[in-house]
Amino acid sequence: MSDHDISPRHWLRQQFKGEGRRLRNAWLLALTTALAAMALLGLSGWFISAAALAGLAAGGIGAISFNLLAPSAGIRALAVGRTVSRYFERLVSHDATFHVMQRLRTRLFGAILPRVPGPLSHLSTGHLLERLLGDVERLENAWLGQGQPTLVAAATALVLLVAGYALAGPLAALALLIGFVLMTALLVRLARVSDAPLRQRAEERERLRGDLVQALNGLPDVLAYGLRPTLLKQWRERLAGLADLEHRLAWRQALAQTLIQSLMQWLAVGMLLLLIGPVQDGAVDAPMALALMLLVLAAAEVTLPLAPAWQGWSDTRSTVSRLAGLTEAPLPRAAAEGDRTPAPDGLLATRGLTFAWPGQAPLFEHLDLDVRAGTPLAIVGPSGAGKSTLLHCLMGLQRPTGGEIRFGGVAQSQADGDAWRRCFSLLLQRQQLFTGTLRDNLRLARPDADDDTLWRALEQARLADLVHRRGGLDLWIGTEGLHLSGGQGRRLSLARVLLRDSPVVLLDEPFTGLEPATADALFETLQSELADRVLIMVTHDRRQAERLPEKLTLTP
Amino acid sequence: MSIDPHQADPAGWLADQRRHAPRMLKRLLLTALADAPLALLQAALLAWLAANLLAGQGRLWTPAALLLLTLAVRALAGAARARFSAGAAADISLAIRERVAGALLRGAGGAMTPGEASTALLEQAEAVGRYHAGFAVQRRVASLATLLFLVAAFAVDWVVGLIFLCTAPLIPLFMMLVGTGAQRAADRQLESLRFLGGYFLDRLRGVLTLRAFAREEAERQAVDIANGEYRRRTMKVLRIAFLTSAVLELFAALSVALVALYVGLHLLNLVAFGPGPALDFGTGLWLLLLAPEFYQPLRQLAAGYHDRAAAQAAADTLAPLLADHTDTDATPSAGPIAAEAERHPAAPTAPSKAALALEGLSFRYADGEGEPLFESLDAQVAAGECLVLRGDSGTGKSTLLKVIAGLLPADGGQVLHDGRPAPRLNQATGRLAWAGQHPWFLHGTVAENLRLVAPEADDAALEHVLADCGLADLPAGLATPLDENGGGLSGGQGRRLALARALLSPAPLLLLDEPTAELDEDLEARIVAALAARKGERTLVIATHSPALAALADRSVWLGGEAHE
Repeated sequence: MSDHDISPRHWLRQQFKGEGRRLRNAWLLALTTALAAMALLGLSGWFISAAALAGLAAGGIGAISFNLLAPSAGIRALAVGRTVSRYFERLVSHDATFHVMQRLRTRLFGAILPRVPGPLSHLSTGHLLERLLGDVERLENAWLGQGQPTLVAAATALVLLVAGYALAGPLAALALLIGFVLMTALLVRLARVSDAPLRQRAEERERLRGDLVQALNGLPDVLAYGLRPTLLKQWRERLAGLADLEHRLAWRQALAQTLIQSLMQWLAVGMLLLLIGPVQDGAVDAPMALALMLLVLAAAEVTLPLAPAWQGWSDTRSTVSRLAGLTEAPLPRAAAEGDRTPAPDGLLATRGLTFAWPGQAPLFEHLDLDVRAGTPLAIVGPSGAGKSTLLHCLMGLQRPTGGEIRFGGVAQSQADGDAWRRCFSLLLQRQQLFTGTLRDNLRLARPDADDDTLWRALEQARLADLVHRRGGLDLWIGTEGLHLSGGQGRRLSLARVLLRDSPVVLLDEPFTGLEPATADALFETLQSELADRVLIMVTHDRRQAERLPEKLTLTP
Repeated sequence: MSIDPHQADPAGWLADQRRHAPRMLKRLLLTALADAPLALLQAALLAWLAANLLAGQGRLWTPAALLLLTLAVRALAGAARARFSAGAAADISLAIRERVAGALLRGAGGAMTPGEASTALLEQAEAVGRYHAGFAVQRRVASLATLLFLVAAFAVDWVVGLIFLCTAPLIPLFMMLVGTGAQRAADRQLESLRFLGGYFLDRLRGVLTLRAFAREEAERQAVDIANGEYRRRTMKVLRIAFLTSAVLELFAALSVALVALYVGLHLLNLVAFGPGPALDFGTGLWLLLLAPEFYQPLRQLAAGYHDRAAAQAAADTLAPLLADHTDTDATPSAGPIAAEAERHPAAPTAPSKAALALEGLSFRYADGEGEPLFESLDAQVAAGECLVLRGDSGTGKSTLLKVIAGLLPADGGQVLHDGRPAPRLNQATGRLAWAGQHPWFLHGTVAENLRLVAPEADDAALEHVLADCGLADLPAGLATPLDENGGGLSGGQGRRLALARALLSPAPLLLLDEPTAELDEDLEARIVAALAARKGERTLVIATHSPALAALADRSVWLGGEAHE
């Protein structure tokens, strides 16, 4: 796998690049919010202490000479400004992040499509779904919970350093600098020691998830043979182990959080103590010293999200490497790379056709076939012999390793990909129904078909009556919404193939899971409706194969 | 299925989960309660220090040292609080997970998909733990802390107290007002997430179909639209949440500003109301420092609001699941029979002849939509006979097998074993053996797994049954290691090992799901012969498409109408 060479930072930057301007705005707004909150407390402290001094000086009567308007207006402005900027910061940062995630999801989906079957075949549907939903959602945190708080904290630290230097001299600035360096070291250390347990937790959760599915599938065995107590004991131990891990992580994070927060508070008080001398000398204004302390104290809010942010970096990194594994997997080379359009002439031919999965012995070698319209070909052979792969090669879903496929006077490698595929339709072993209406599902095969065309196809597949009974073309179906029997489902797939009206029809095990009587009925429909097409049928049922004029046997 | 309404009341169940971590939660509450008094003390010391500094007199180091001490104690209390909070959440999740695992492994989640089951076990149990360690504690802390701050403020200056008092109740009121709208938006977003999940799942399963129809680009665009819809709905929820917290912060900020102004004007001798000269600089600063602290607990409470919604959603799933588990343990009709079966397990040497009867059996998918999978099914099988279940895939053969085993409840009718209603299968009765498509094995050798069902069988007997199932050539014979998922064997070998286990077990009733699927004809013939040899002494129920296997049938049940057309 190449995912180890990709730097997570670089990959993340690429994903977030499109929203760069808005993310910068969000960061500026967040910084404004933080600085306004600090300034609010600082200014308020300064105002009170300056007022107290003025009041003392005035000695009991109204201290009219004190400039009241400017600081009080400032306080009001900061109070409202902080809230408003925080509100907009959250809106902008979340909206920008979600835009990034939307694009990422679409991009990942687009990356998965051409790689299955292929380099991503080893991932189950459940795994791919978890990548698209769970992993992408976890990545939201990369900016909202990690990037932005860290950048805001860094900028705030800079502002504090400058303010400390300007208001209280180099000694104060040095103290702040040492505090910030310590804090950074603490965070780096936290991220490092949390890495292993976090990884362990994530792996253990994934294992539990997988094992639960296995145990639930095998539940009849477990219950019938009294294995439940054994199984439950195993599960108890593993769950307790997971809880232990959570306890350990909690200690670490709590400790780091406390150290960071105390460090900020010590810095705040330390500022004041450092300024005692200068205040007594009159070099620094007392209200100013107080304001500086409050400023640092209020900055504690900025450091609050840092510990979880840095601890979570390990999670982000492994999420990124999982997702990069999808997009960086090598893209299989397209079978049809030219621009020519086949002119259907009723002859599909192969010469020396060979296919091998990378690093493996060829599935089939030097196949020479001539399949003519009206003379269907049966392909038989045990599972694993490459029957389905041969169909995929013919259709151009998979690039053959060697040899040539010709149809309509054009070699596959010189044909336009879409034009080539338009000449074919494929009936899969388990044709998938998609969430949507029955009409949507049929139109997959032919997006421009009107209702009359759809009904004609349903009639040809002898399914029209059933669809009438169940509520017509607007029937809402999903994977489990329409409880069709095996035979009915196969007829619906057949309707899609007929609707496509393509000159070549490839059928992959159309009779699996069907009772012989159902299979026979379907076979007759197929033969009568597809009599004038180039027809190739993969089957493991010898009875059906005998009924076709031509036969090809593949052996593993 | 009858569920005791009290057991399944999600709100009651959710509140009750507190009992799983009583000590942790008590410690958590104590450390959380310590925060408000410490905040008062911290502000007071800070104000004292500042007043001395400003006046240019009095000690500075004493208040400074005390302040640093208080800060350290407060930080420690905060750490302990975070620790106890995570600990309580982990303990509650653990207790719930153990129960969920127990219930799932008893067959209680029969209607759940594996994905839903693992979400219930991991994420939803976690959500309940987080709620109790977060929002539920904070609710109690926030009310007490608010009261304490109010008392402290009123004791010093009634004007500041009044500012606090007037703004505080607005917060819960406002939260309630936006709460209902937020809930509706959150529900819509959750629905959108489910849709997106289903949509992706659907498309991923059908990738090949999409490619075959050259729909990649169109689907990519459709996925982007579904994605965008989810983003818009998520933003809508968040906009409400942000507005809520913005209002809370505005209150906090305005009250800081108000207090600062009031105190400042007072110190300038420009206001004529309030406690008058008693309000010196130190007290004023103390009040000012209290203002942000006063709103902090309420803000934390508002931030945990969505944890509460997540926990409620989890309770809606978990409460019935766990209630169902207590229910199946004490089903009145099944109880005595199950108990009797446990006391007198079938003698391994002389299996009693089992007879099976299906009476008017019906089953419908849990969603209640569509036609029933099967309806008013009747069948009688005498001991030693073979019943074959036939029908196209998708017509419910495996489901019927599970209903016969007592794994799934029928919607109507009943299953009789030996003339008595079959108990819900949640423990070994020694009466039935099962071989399905996804077997489960103990971590151990092949021999250990086989002896599980027949402890006294010798090696010859084990090898004999393995040979019957075409497993004579396992890599290390009887010593071949296995893991829970049959690792060490191929999928087909694992299924045949499950069949061997069923054949070896002394149970009189054998339930077999497609025992010859994906086998070549020689192997199929061998297994058909092995099953034929057991007819007469065992009662067989076999779901299959294979005509060779179907030839064993004494009786057949046809599912799905099409075979009769």
